[in-house]
Amino acid sequence: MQIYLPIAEMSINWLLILGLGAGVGFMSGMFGVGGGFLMTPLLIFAGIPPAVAVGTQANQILASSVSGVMAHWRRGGVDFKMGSVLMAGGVAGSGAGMVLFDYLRSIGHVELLISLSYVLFLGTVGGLMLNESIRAILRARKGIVPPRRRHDDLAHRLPWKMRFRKSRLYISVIPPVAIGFFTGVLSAVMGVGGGFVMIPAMIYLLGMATNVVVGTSLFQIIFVTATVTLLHATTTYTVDVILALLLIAGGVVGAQFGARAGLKMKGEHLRVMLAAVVVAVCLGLAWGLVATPGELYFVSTLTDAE
Amino acid sequence: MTRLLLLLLLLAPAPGFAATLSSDLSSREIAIRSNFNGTSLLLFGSKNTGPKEGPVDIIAVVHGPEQPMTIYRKERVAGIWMNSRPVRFHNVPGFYAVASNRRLADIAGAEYLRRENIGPDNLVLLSVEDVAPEELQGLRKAIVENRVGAGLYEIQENAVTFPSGDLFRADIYFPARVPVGDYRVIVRMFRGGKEIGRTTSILTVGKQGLEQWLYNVAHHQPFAYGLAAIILAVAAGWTAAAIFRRR
Repeated sequence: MQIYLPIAEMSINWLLILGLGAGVGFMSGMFGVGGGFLMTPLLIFAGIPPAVAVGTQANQILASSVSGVMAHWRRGGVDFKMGSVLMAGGVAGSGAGMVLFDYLRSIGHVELLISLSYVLFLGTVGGLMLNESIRAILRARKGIVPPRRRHDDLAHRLPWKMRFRKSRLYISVIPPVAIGFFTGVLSAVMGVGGGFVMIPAMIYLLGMATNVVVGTSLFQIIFVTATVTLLHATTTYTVDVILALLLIAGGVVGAQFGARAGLKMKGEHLRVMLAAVVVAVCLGLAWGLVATPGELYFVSTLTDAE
Repeated sequence: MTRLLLLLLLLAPAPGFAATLSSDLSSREIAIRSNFNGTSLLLFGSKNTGPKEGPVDIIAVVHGPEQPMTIYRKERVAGIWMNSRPVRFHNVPGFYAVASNRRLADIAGAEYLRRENIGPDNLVLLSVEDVAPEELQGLRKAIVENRVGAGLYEIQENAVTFPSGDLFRADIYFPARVPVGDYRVIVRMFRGGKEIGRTTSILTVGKQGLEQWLYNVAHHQPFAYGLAAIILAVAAGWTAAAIFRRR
């Protein structure tokens, strides 16, 4: 049951990795996010070196995004124009994130950076989502219909306006490029697709039509994770294809079952559950940062950093 | 096993000889393949001593390839634990195992053990950084403890046994995380606290087949490797979507 991972240089139970892929795949299929924010901490917990977890994770999200975007594309759920604008920002952002990742690795703070980014973003996004979805459930119980958003915010006042037909928007390109860039940085540093930041940003900041949000997010994640995979392969040498293949195999199957389970549930109930998972992961990582460590030394054998 | 028996026959003591040491490993090579999950090698030999000359002791040291290593002391800054200034060491053995028939301290003097770097605590780990001696001592100790925890450093003071007559044997375990490279195996024989013979041999640990190939491609043609990883992921995602669509 053990398989040797040539890049991580360790042997691991391949059933565990398949199961991890399937479990996270199930959740990502159900909630429509990549699941990277769950996978990276789980891989690190399973003993995979953090740098390898991040580098390999991007490659796995690439596969699940391709699988997911095909389904959305067939039913017209991808805004390619908006996706391209987000992607332009995303590719630039992942390049910038890589530079940051490499620099912090050279001074030995990359683990701290990964953990801190997770605590910060999972906490913020999870908290906001939890708040929003609980209100939505309460409103639904009382039978109140929420008022439609008025589009007079920043995205409409900035220059370089562009029409995005599928998203039903006529807004400046600056906010989508900025959101894309920011997600790209997160993607390189945390090894995530950034769906959990991108999707709320698209809904709440840009006001995109909700039926194209997930498909468009997946579409641009394909390009960002492909860039991140290539950058990690050439600068940190931390992409382990054997590990990636095992995760992909488990992930694609889990995602299909997750998507079916998700269809049977109400949107706001799904969001509450996702928010709860996000907040739980955040609290776990935060505890790891402040709790007194068992070992007072951190020893690294990674020699290819310089 | 036939090889082992033949060797043991050849090593059989000739009468009237002074004590001579000979030893070998059950294999001079460890191949890391996809199913590699650690392995055990048999170290064996003959001490060829006459019956009147008194008992001898055996210490075997397996010294893995030296690697650079970086260590950080964790410090609490504003309530959060973070790594302090890194200290680099240049010659940390990636694997280090000592096997003997009884306690090292009973076999040879502390001064001798220190000079010959026998035992994890007697390893000389060097750093170019300007570090205070007492801090250096703490860092060395931490590295050794870390390696012991990872199963890469091992000291077994009862691993060497004498199954019959002049023969001795010991099992040396190599965990799944052993680094690749050349390992030096030194077997020393002692009588009355004095070294009276030693043998040196080399053991090679290497990735083989697919593992070797992937590692090489990842490090020597990283761009092609990255592109291949992308193509693989896209193909896998595409295939999965196609399969589940037909259902």
